[in-house]
Amino acid sequence: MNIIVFIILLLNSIYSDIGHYNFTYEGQAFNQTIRGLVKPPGVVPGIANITINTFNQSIDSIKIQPVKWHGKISSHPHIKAGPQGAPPSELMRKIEDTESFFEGELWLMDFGAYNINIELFKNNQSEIINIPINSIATEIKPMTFQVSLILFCLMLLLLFGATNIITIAYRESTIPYNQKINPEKITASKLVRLCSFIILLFILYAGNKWWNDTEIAYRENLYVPMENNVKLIANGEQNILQIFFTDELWLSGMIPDLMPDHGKIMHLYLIHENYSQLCHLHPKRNKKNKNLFEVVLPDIEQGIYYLYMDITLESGFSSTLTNKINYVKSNIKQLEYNNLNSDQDDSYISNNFKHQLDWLNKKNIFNINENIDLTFQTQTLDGKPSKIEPYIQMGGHGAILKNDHSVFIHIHPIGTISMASQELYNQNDEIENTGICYFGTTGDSLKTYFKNQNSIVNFPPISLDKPGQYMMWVQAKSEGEIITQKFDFEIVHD
Amino acid sequence: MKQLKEIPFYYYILLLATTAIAVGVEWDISWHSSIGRDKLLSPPHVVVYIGGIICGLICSFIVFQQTFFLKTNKGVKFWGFKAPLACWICIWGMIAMLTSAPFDDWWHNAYGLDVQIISPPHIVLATGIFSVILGSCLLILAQKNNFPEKNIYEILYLYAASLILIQLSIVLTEYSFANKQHSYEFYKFSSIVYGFLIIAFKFPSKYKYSATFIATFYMLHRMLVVWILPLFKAEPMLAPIYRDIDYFVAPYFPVILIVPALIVDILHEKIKSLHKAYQSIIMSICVCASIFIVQWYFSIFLLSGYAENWFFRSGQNIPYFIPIGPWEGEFFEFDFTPYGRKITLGVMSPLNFLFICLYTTISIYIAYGFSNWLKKIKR
Repeated sequence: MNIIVFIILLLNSIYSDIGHYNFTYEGQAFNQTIRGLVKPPGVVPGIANITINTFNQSIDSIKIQPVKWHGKISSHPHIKAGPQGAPPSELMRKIEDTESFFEGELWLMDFGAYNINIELFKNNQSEIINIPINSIATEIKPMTFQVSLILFCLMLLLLFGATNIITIAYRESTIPYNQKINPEKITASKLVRLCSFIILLFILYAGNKWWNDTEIAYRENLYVPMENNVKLIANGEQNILQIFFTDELWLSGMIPDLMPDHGKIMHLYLIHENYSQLCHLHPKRNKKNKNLFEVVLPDIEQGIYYLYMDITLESGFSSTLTNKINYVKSNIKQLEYNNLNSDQDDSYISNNFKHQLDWLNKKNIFNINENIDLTFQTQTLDGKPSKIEPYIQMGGHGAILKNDHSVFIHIHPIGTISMASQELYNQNDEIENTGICYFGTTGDSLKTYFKNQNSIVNFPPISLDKPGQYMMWVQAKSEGEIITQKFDFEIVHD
Repeated sequence: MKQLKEIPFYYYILLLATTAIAVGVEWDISWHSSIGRDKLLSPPHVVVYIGGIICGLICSFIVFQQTFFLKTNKGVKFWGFKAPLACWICIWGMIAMLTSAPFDDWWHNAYGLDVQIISPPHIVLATGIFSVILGSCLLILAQKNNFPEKNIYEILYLYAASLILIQLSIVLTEYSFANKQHSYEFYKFSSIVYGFLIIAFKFPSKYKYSATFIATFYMLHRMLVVWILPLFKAEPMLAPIYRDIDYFVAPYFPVILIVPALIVDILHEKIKSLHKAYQSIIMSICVCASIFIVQWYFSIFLLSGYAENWFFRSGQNIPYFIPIGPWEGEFFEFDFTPYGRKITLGVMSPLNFLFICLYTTISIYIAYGFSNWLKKIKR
């Protein structure tokens, strides 16, 4: 029965973004903007909530369908699902008193990558949007005081009720009608009451232990980033950052291979501990060792850096791995090592910039779960709008970080989803071949994901549920320059 | 026929309600294996709730009647109220069933929706259901003990006892799939549980072959469910779907308990003069050996192509969410917890068989004592 939980092992340690598990998506259907928000349940199996905003009344109805994807798992090649394993789609409800909002729920029964297949109907025609999401356990919701109280009272009732039933079963149940109870039996029944109470307490204790063991087992399944090691080496000319995938499941072939997301096998954000620097780098996979990824460090200040490594698996599962390094040039081991080519799209905060970004309608403080409008304009330093250009096939890139590092979000104009996953699902076929697939190349995505040809770049609004100080780095390209700019804001309770 | 009319009608309703509970639970498991998605008021849940409510109402009626209107004391006193012991067990079971609802709801939110039959809230529910069915059985048993001349109570009692056997066999579902019937765990739990039930509920009956009757009722019930459920259409509603299923998935084919029950019935006549401890040892060895020998070879048959028919339903009792793989038709050497931890299943060895006999001896010895009390219940 539980063979399926092989799959649980595959993906229990990786997840896209950190501390923020909703998926936002903005795309087009019938040439109009469609915005989707998927809130995974945080437990598996669980029920995800889906909201679609069509922005006008022209969409007649929407159907949603969950599709489970596995990719090729070398250790268990027989496990497959995909579209042929999807249940019938379901009609979304139109939210009352709104013109364009639809809502629905879908059950996510398994750990790993899901595609939320969304079919929109207009004038008897339909178009499909795919929203890739991850299904994983991220939390154990505590019991509320009211539920605890109710259950505690019922437990006491059952405990004392059972004790009394056992006692009277001994004392009275075998006495024929209208006969009196033997006084000796009444005395002995007190001992029965005591013994049964102790036995029942023991049963409760055993039940409690079982519950605790279950919780421990479940807790082990909560999201933990995939294990990796990082190392700095130098060859006299370059300082090279090496990232080794050391996760046991990865090494044993239980996790599908990586596929490039908008043309890069990995997107690495390197953030200085005092937030003064952010590098957006693209490590390359070592040709001899598929578990090793390498990137040349740009000329940045020394210090402790936090690493956020975004990857997408061939199943469509996207994840962010984390690590930390202390970058001190004098401590780097010198080796004989060939020079590496830097990726042309690598970028970092430069002191010699000619353009800037302006967060239009910026607020410094937002409430918990308030929609944060993310509209930015590229400008020259004197504030004049400058033409935006595609940067890694998109209008812009954003990285949001909470100051305690409990939240990290990588966002694009298309939302927080992995574009490679979406393109994989748009192909409607699981990747069967080993090795890397090349969804997410320029040819695939430029038209789709770079919409703005003026100075404005929009990200779908995002909401945050953890109060605290946040930083947001936005990157866009204008007149040949990649702009990387930091913005600060705060999330507070209502 | 005359006796049929002589006994209060609510005894029949009680048995119907408890049967509905058992069928509802079987249907619910099949629902989870075939359709997947359910809600609070899904049809199988409604059947279970209605069954529980009917039992509760009947017992409440008896409590009300005996506390306030009957002059003859036919019950036991419970916190000032009077009613037969069985009613209190039924009512306790109902409260336990109610308790499991918020507990299970929270469990789903905390640890995910149902992924296994045996979980703490489900055990609270199963205990509640067991109590309701046991209460119904004891209500009839008390009547049988008070009116031994009425054979109808005897028959109703045997049927009620079979419902207890059915309910416990449902609890053992996760250990009892044909693929697991070569494991130590299957034989251990089956021998301990079935050994206890066969012995405990045999002796209150005056029939020589009472255990066989109980096992026959059990087998008939379970086989009817195996035969009937797949006749109805069902469609999986949750992804991932690994198997083409357009019918309600059947439960596992029942453990052939007629064999150990018949052995117990025959053997009892020959060893009844011995001390209970010796009887327990002999009965235990016979129960364990018969379950082991029968199921060891029967499960090989169940996993073969010969059992893929309407009678045994092999191949039609696998849920939609089990991937098709090299384990088809094979005995499992390991299992997984719902959270992915691999568990190696025990293998049957002479030593393990001895352990099973030891545990079953203790279980059967307790069953003799329990049975002795059952025989004496009057109120």
